[in-house]
Amino acid sequence: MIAGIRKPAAPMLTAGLALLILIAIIAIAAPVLSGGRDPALVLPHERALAPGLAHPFGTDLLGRDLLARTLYGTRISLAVGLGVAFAATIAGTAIGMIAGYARILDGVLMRGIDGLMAIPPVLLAVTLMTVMRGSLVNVIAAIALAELPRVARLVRASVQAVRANLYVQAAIVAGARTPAILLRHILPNIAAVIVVQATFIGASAILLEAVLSFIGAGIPPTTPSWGNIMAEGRSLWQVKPHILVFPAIFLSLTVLGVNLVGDGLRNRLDPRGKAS
Amino acid sequence: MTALLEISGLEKRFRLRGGRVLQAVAGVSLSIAPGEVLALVGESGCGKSTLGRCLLRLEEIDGGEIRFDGQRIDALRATAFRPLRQRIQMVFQDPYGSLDPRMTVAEILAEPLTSLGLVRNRHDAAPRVLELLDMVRMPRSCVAKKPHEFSGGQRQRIGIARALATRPDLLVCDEAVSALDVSVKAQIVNLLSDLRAELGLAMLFISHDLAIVERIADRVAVMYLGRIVETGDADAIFSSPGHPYTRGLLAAAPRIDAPFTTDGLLRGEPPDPAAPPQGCRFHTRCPQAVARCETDDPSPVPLVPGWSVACHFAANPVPEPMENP
Amino acid sequence: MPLLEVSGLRVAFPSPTRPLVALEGLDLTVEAGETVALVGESGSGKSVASLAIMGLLPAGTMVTGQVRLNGADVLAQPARERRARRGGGIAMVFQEPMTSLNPVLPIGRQIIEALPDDERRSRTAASARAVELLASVGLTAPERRLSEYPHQISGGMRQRVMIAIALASRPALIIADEPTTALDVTVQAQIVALLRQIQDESGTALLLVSHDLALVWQMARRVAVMYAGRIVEQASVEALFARPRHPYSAGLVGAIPRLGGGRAERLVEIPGLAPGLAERGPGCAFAPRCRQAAAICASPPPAHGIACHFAEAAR
Repeated sequence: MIAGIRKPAAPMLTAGLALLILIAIIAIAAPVLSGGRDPALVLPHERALAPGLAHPFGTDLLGRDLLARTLYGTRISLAVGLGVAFAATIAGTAIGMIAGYARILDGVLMRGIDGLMAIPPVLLAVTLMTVMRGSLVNVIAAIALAELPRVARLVRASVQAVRANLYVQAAIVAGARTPAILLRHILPNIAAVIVVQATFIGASAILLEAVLSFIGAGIPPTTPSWGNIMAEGRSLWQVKPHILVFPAIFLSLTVLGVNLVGDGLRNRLDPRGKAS
Repeated sequence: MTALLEISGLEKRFRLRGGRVLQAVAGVSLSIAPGEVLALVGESGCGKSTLGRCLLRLEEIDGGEIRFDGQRIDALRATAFRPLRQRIQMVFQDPYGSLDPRMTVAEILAEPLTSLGLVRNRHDAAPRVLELLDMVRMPRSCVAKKPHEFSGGQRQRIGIARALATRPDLLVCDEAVSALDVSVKAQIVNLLSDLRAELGLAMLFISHDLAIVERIADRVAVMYLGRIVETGDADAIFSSPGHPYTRGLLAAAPRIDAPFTTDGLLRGEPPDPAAPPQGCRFHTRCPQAVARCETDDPSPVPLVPGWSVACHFAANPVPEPMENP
Repeated sequence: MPLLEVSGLRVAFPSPTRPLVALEGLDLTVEAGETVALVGESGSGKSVASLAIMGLLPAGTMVTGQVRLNGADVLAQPARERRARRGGGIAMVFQEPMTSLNPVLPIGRQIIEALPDDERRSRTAASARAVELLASVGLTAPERRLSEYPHQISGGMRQRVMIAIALASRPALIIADEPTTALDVTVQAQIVALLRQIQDESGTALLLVSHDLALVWQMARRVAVMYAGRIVEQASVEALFARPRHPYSAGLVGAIPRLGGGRAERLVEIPGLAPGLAERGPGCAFAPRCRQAAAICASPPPAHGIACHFAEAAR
């Protein structure tokens, strides 16, 4: 341990948050950090250059500066991660709560969810993207659809567990209507689980977007995303590894950061949950 | 005077795995007058808690009628029943599970008032919340605390306060003191007695503990395997029980005024409620059972007005036991 | 020499701040064939005491003091030696038979496992002994029970099986921790009758741990009342009920509803709550709730006899 610095109380959570804050700063300050370089500027004379002074990360097959592209790509990943986490969580929670509380609708809803889950997420997302045009919003929607079954099942199971509690029956006896019971009694008691799951969905979404863009079914290459940067470097990776390497490092670190936050949150919320 | 609560022929069935049917409540009739405390006693599996839950519409009944203040309430749709929740409330058995761990005491006590439209919002409920805390002898500083900061007895007081928030006419206490320590039981029973006197509450006091019941009940109904076997005035039943099961319960209850004796102890155990015996349901454990008891199910026979016993020997007072258990 | 002699038993649980003391120097004796009750409400430490005597506390718990069975200190012995003893040891009956019986093993197997080594050599002899034990605890059709599983029989029958398992090792002392709390009252009475009968016939001593004073009246000859980790009063059962000398015992006895008392009798209340493990200080733990508390109660009460500075006056 570095002298004078104590180990933090929640090492995973702290490390993860630190990473994510760093990534967020990169995303916001991309123009500044890339020294004003234009990620879309094609420089035909400077194609596939190795990292050097003028281009610290090198250039890609069209001569675009990779430092700028990689840094701007952070924005896409964060947008996808947050967007999917929100959308999948909200939609999945709504479905899960209805399925968990209203036994009549449970069967119908869960068969639908089971059907969605039967299709591997990557395949589902790719299929959706072939129908829709490639754009950031569509990518978020497609991935959210692929991820929401996980949330729905988790929420449904949690709702069923909480619904069996005596205080829910006490609320019914006190005259609370179903929406009030769901929002005031059930949701707060399952919120911790949902939040943890949302972080893991964010990580999964970032990876999934990279995969989609890599195979050309995601963000079109005009907007840089780590996936499509790596796609271009695919054919030349033995000769010009720099095109693959930098986005890959950024991707790994981001996903690591999100996973650390998720694990750290789960550790903090679980034992307290048991105690109360 | 019209009875406050009148139940006739109440039935409640549960479907078990494997297709079997459990008749938890198999035709129960009883009534409670305004301000009266009726104790419903019996051992586990007799259906007394299920009966209580049916009154609060936590379960839907399968047969029979429930009349509250003259009005039939069992057939009402959920929305039509909701306003009546003001007048019928419940205190639950488990003080640790019956309070939402994420709500403050103020929120818990205000919930019945806001849900049933008696106040506009939580802010308006504040005076009543403080009044309720005074009533159950808890300090007013509780309002901002959460349930985990309190002991079992204190949580039960909060539960009682919540049940009284809407000034109900009838309080169903479902084993309200069973989960508490001896000294705390005493506190809560005294509290319930006092509140009942102050507020003129009627109560359905569900319990398996006869000694506690004796402290608080005006009348007693004894339940066995989904049926009422004896109903009557509490003092009368405790001093000379009419049904052999009641006698067995009293004999088994631990007494500290006399040495232990095996006289009058019932043999065997309560049968599986899903497969009750034929004829009189109690005949397998009854010291007086004869051949008739295995085929004929006795209906309640009124010994005197207000006291009925469901036994073929009801008219003959306490005969000698036919065999030693 | 008493059969069981507990002296200075102190149990503390490690915690981040300071060790939480659950038992503060318990002194208790049980003579051969005697029934002694350890009475207390939740948090009093009575269950911890029974587990400590059996050596069943989790590793890491700080246990000091002596527990002598027929003169030999059982706490100091390794577990293997205790198990190999041929009878004459301590057996335990727990509160909740559904969780203390193994749900995946047939009953016969669980009884046979508890038999001492020399009775287990031959399968037929072991089974016969198991049937004998099941019959002795009042189970009908004992041969059939051997192959049944715990979930197939009722609660009262499971408790009888637990008692049979306890008897299998021919113990000199049975510790029964809330043996009837989970049972219906009619079944409870049957188990009380059974335990009394077993004692009469086999001369086994019984340490009954319970919160139910009425049960204690029915079963025990002597009683030790526990509060906040200490024994506050020890007396014969008649003396305790007639003339409790510690204010807590008096409150406890007054709080029991007596059948036949009618509605007029108001139960005696003890105001307030027992202190938790972390809240106990050096002075008398009952002082905050005691009607007679005075300045002297801030200092520790007498460690032997009645744990009250006013013991003489508390009649």
